[in-house]
Amino acid sequence: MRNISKRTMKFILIALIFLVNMQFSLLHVFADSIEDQEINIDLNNDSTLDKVIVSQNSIKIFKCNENKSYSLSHEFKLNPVKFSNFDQYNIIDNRSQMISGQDIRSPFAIKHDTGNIRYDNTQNVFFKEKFIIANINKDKLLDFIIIEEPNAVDYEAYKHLIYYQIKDSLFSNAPNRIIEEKWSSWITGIYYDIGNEGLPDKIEIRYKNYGALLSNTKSIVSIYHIDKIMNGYKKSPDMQIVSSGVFYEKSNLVDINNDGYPDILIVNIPKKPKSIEEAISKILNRQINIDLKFYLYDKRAKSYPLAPSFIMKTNIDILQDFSISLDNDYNHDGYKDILITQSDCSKKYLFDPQECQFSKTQLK
Amino acid sequence: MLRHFKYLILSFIVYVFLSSSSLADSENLIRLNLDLKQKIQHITCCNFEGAALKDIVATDGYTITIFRQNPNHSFKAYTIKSNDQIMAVNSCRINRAGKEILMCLGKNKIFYFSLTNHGEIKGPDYIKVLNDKSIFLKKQKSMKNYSFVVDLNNDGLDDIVIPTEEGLLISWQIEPLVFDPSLIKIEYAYINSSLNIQPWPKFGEKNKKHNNGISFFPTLSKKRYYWLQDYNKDKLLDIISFAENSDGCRITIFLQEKNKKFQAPKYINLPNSKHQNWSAMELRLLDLNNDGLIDIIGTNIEYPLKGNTSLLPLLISKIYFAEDTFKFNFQPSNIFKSVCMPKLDNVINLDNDGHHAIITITPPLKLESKESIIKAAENKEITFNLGYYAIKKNKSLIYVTLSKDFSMALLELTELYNFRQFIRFEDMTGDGVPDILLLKKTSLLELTKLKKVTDMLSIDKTINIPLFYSVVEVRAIDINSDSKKELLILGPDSKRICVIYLKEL
Repeated sequence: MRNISKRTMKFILIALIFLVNMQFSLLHVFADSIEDQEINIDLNNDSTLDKVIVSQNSIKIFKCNENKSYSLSHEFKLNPVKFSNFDQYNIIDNRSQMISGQDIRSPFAIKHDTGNIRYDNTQNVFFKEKFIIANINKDKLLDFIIIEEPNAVDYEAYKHLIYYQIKDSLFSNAPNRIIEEKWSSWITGIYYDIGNEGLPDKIEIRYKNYGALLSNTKSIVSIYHIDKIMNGYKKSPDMQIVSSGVFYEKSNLVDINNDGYPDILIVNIPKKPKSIEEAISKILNRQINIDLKFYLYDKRAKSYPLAPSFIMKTNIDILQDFSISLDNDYNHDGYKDILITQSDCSKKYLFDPQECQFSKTQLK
Repeated sequence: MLRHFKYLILSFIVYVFLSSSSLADSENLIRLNLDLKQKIQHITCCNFEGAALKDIVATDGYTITIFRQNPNHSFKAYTIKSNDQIMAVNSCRINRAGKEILMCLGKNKIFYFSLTNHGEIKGPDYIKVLNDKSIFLKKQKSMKNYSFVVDLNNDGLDDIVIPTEEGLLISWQIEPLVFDPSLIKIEYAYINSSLNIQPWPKFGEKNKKHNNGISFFPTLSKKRYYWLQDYNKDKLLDIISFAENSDGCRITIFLQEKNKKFQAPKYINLPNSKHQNWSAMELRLLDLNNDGLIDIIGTNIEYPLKGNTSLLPLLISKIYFAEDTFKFNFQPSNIFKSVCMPKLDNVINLDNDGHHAIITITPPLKLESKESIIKAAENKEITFNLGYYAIKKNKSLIYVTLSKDFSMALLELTELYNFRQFIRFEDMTGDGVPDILLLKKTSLLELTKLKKVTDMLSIDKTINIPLFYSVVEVRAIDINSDSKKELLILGPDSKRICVIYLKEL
């Protein structure tokens, strides 16, 4: 018993060291030289951190063995390119706030406006490709995606080369899947295997009337499945949710009702006042009601409902930032509970599986 | 006879078609529309004949349309084709009488079009650059036109300044259309390498579960940052560059000598402190107290309510007076808030003693003010306080209000998301006092004319210019040499240039 406890303690300690090391590595990877930068990440889900060494010409993957030594398991070849550009500089334009001064997007060049026009020229040596390490096919092993830059013929065509991890940080030499897309959004976009089919679905979020203080935002969530024959995403979405509010990126596609499928959260701040009095009270009283609209995945229909499965109402201070977390289980019932935080104040609500919604009373 | 008459009518129709349409919408302004079939990528004004009237040139990359200006407020269009793609187009003065050519920047080449003695457009003629290895930097898509022609040495002949991989390629125009190229090496502002690691997908609880995935793209960046300004008031333009380092930043000044050469660089070192990060600031170099020493205005940008609203960004400016040449007091003498960047075009000499004023717009009335909220909701506009900061002899700052009712459409309330407001300072009459050009609404451009009365500024008049279509850009330039500026407005889909002559200026 004492031995087991010691072993467990040792394991926890090692895991803790690795976890700290991993966080440190991810935060402090910015070195002076582009040569041989290292990412420590557990690629094959064996609780040991493997090494990804990025150099000018290749990405080498080293598997961490049982004896804590590293062995080369795969190498991706790279093509760095030199690229230079220049720009006219203006602090406000640079921040997309076109309020005063020169607009760099303007076609006018009447004369060099000395002192006011500033040039900012950059030379970048960068890799044509962008990279993603993520579990794409939900087999608990991290896969590798190389996003190739478009070729000279078609500037819009991006190739996504997906290498599924075979096992033990091993990858095949040829990509398992090639997806060609116009306007790659893989780096910034949302890809998630919604239907648990081993293929990432593409989730596009578009807004209508996106704004802040007093406007009315409508979000359009479009979900595209991979067409296995075309080996790419369809032109039109397979399903679409149109809802007033914003797709809450910080905490979304969380499985709320424990059915194994991700659910969608749209946060609606009813911003547009219906009357002047409402506008005044909204800003002077500062408190407003917001709607948290949950769309639970219907596994029978293999889609999300058009209307919210349930709506939770809560009250916030309009002038302060707020955050919503769904990564909690306060009563340890296996269901995700919700935490709404604003400044020092937080509200907790438990998920009620019988009612299939969050409780109306706060957890004390 | 009838055939001749027919021909006359046809010629007249063709002339009307090619020429601009003139709309006299009020007694005080004349409005002309210059329409193009293709979307305009670059616009400039060029004085081909060196006469009083400037012509307007628009290109779409390969097609150049020249609107020759006639004395009676009309234009006639000519079109020429370029075999080389035009990346930027500027006018370039080739004699002291003011005759100009159309200078084009192509892919690693410079060429020009000029007017022959017979009134025909001739070109392209190519200018030899330094050597074949001087590769021009690629232009970013976000920038449509680029100013690369400037009279560096104030000799009446325009020179060419182009960034290359090595530094700045300067082609001095030593005599009409004879260029002498040289290279100025400028140090990199910073060199940075990074893997650019981010959690993937981008949403999710950050700092907790990186093992869900990461994205990365390795880069090595070298950056130069520079501008041209007459630093030592000798009427020769100097090159000023800015470089960050771990301790702060360094301003490098290349003073121009009279022999078309630049001196060895002079440096101003600005060390960072606990309260001051110079590299986060936008720096302007100006002699604010007329002591012959260049002072610094450093500006930081802040967003109200952490960027949660689209209320205008707030600029916080700090003034650092020079103690000696290239030496500064690193404690700011004054701090002030505004929504306009203090620049060369809104800082003026206020009186004969050299006291300066910074014309600006102070932040909008506070949200807590009931009146401002009602007004904003009712009129869908936000109200500012227009005024100026006068810099006194003892280096103190006094704010003088010119108007408490200076307003513009609030973007959030208009629900017009392509509408781009602006507040710009333009000296419309050449009296040394900047006037304020404000795109107030989609349908209204407002010109507030300022005047100097003894050592004070006041509002002279306000001119409302109605707009009949959505505006892409507005520029003010004197196109008929009457010392008053006209307005050139780029219209819907960038296919129309509207010229407005303001009679009441």
